[in-house]
Amino acid sequence: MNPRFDRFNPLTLVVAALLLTAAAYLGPAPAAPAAALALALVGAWWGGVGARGSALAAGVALPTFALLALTNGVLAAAHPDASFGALHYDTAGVRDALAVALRLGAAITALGAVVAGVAPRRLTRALAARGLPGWAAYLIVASLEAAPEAKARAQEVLDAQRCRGLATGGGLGRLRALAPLAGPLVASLVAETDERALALDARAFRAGRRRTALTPVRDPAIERAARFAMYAAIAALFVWRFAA
Amino acid sequence: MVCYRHVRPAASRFLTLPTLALALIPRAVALNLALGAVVNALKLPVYLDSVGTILAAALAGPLAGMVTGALSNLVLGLLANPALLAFTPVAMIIGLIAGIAARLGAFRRVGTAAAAGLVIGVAAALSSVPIVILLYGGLTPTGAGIVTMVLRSVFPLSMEQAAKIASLSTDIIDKPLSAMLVAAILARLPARITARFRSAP
Amino acid sequence: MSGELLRLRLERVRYGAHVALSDVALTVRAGEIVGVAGHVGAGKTTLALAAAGLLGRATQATVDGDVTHPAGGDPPASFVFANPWTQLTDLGGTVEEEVAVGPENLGLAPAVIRARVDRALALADGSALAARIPRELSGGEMQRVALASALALEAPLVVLDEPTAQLDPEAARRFAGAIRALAAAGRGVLLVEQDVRLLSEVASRVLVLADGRVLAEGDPRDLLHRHPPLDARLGSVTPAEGRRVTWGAARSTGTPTLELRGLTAGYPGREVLRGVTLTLARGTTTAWLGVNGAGKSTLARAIMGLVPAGSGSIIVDGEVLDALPVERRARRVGLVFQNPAAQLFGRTVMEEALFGPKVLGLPRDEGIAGAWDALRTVGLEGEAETNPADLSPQAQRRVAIAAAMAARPSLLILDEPTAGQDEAGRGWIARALDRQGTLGAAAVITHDLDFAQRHCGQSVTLTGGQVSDIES
Repeated sequence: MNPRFDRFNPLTLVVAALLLTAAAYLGPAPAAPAAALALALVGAWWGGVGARGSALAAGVALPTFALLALTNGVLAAAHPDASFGALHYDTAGVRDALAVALRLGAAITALGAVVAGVAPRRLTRALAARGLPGWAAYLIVASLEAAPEAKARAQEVLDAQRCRGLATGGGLGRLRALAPLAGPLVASLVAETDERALALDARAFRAGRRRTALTPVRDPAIERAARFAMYAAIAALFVWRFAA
Repeated sequence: MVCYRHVRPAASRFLTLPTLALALIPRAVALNLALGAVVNALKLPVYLDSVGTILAAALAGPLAGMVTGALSNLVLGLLANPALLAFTPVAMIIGLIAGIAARLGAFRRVGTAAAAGLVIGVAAALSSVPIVILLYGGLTPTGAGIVTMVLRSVFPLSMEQAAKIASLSTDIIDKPLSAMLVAAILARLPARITARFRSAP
Repeated sequence: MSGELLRLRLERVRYGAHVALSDVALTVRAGEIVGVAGHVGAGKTTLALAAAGLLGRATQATVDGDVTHPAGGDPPASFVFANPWTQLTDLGGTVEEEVAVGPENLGLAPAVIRARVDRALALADGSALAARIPRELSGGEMQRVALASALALEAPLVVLDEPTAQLDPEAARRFAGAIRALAAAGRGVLLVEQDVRLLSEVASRVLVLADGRVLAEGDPRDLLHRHPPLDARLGSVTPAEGRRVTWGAARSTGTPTLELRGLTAGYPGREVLRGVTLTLARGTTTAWLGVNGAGKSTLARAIMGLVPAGSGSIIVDGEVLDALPVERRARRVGLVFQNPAAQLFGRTVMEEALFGPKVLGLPRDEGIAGAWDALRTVGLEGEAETNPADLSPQAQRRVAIAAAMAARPSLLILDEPTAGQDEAGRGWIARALDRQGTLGAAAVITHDLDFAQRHCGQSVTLTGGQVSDIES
């Protein structure tokens, strides 16, 4: 998907995102989350997904900051000790709100960048090479495909029932429309399950056998070492946070 | 190499994932997403986004329910908002309780299903609060968040208390309704299909 | 080397109380293509699953008997299903990655997997599809990919369950070629098929099942000439003589049921219908023919309103439908989709049939009368209290047709109604068309030229979004 991200093993990128998230939540606020956010943004832009990552993060973090600052800083403020014009606010409340928003922003940017930049199948292949069983890989990919399939199926059902005369507008009729719309969705879902189970069996999905790959994902020693270092860093952060 | 001599249907299993469950779970995830889309199209004031989780739990047991919940969260987190990934424990709790309730026969009647839904709703609401506080400081940028803000501003409540009340108020309608829907669906499925799934009521 | 690949002896196979198979014996050798035929519900799929060793695993069957694969193999048999899409694991982003899923599951080395994928695609006539994305393929292409995916397991025995049921004739022919190549390459093939013509072309031996038991066995061509009753059960082997249906007095010269004037329609960025002008008179049954993509389904959807019309008029029984939404057009036009599962949800067949009249606001007794009439026409009045999900897919399609007819629309459009139907099923559908002719007009989108010739008074061919040919 992204040529720069593809140079790395997907697992390395995931662990890096997790490290940034851990740093944001476990490190001292507001320095740690701010730094993590900055690093995440840099990484995202380098990978070519900067726009998406930051838009997503802003879309969640900014409203959260606004609501939280409003609540803890103004409306339900414990000690209003500063003023902005006629408005009295609590600096501690606003500062805490900022910390929350920064943490959230860092986490979403880091994870969002990885999600946008790594193809899910590549990730499951990397996981399979590290021991993820075949059925788990199938579940993940099949569920990801569930989204477009679900929309297509829902549209199909909607079309078919409208052709029989089902109206979908207006008041109570909407609730009555639920059964004829949800019913076929569920019925076809359960009926198809049989055949899909057989198809999986026929394709030799067996417990206890490690899957290989047609195009294995490279996992050079240096990346494995880097990941180990990152795990250690995360552990250190936990220790620092809860032992100090 | 002989395939069969005399083969009987496999006995019930509690914590394993037979192939049938494997095939069911992604479909149940699709159901969570599809129903969400349908509800959106009909503009009804509920979510109904856990119906697939509850159905999978009712048909194939608590483990299947938990996996369905976790996967639905994973998919939504990957496709929409990574922050949703943090709510995976909540989705798994929904699947676990639904599965246990199904084993106790709760989904045989709409009334008992509603009661089970209430338990699920309370558990889901309460378990999501610590996550909301950790991640969002107590206020998600949604309707529930606004409710929390209003409660905290008007009444002498801590953030945690306000968040709990707001969370309960939505889940107390959505989860029992979802559970009742699942009971209604199961009642309409022919015995031939429900017999395939060991846990089915 | 003609070793035995399958030795099957089943005393009894049961699903709960229902006995699916009794006393069936079968052998398959390398290089052989053995066919299995029979009416819907005869037990063909059960036999196929048993032969592949899949019966005990995901399904809840009780099996009394022996199934042996003397040649061994891991796995000893691979399986191809009728529906191309439910076999797609989606673990592969491209076709060759999808084909690789089987060998990957077997834990083979990447170089070995590569070799197997290439071999399998070549054998299944799918090498040209290697870099494509599975979801973008046509049904016929996907089925060849499914075959390749099964072949990549390199099992000596290949079992196929009605693989051409959902394919158009061109795709079916191509698939048959691939099956012949399999036998030539030394695999053993067990082929279950409704299409008896196909079996007589490729199979050296055929086993005919009826109600779970073996009715006859032998060379397909011999069998079908020696047993005239077999002919009726299985369907025609020789092409139809072109018997036309005459409508005679039933045709009225009054207002045509359907009138289309210069209809254009399409999807964003893609115009499919480019000025369709067509008139269907009352009492006629018309077959809509044309290759995939010519616009037949789009035409049906445009008449129904699911696809907005760019320009032109749609007039049914003299009433202009252009401004009406889909649910209002449903009073006049009934459309039955290819996939009946997309609409069935009732607890009983009768509830399903009554849904249309109820939702359209027809008076209760009119609705009930229409529903009974429709069910009788398709031969399902005995199943009125049955849960539709309990019926076979073939019967479900008849339920969907009855549900559309219950509201007595003037125009009834059926999209590929004969796919997967046996001769009996086709007969019921023909009856539905006859009945619709007395109420208005019927249109059938189909690839089944045999059916079209026998039961449709006229045909309309669409090419590139326009009507290119009208024949009576």
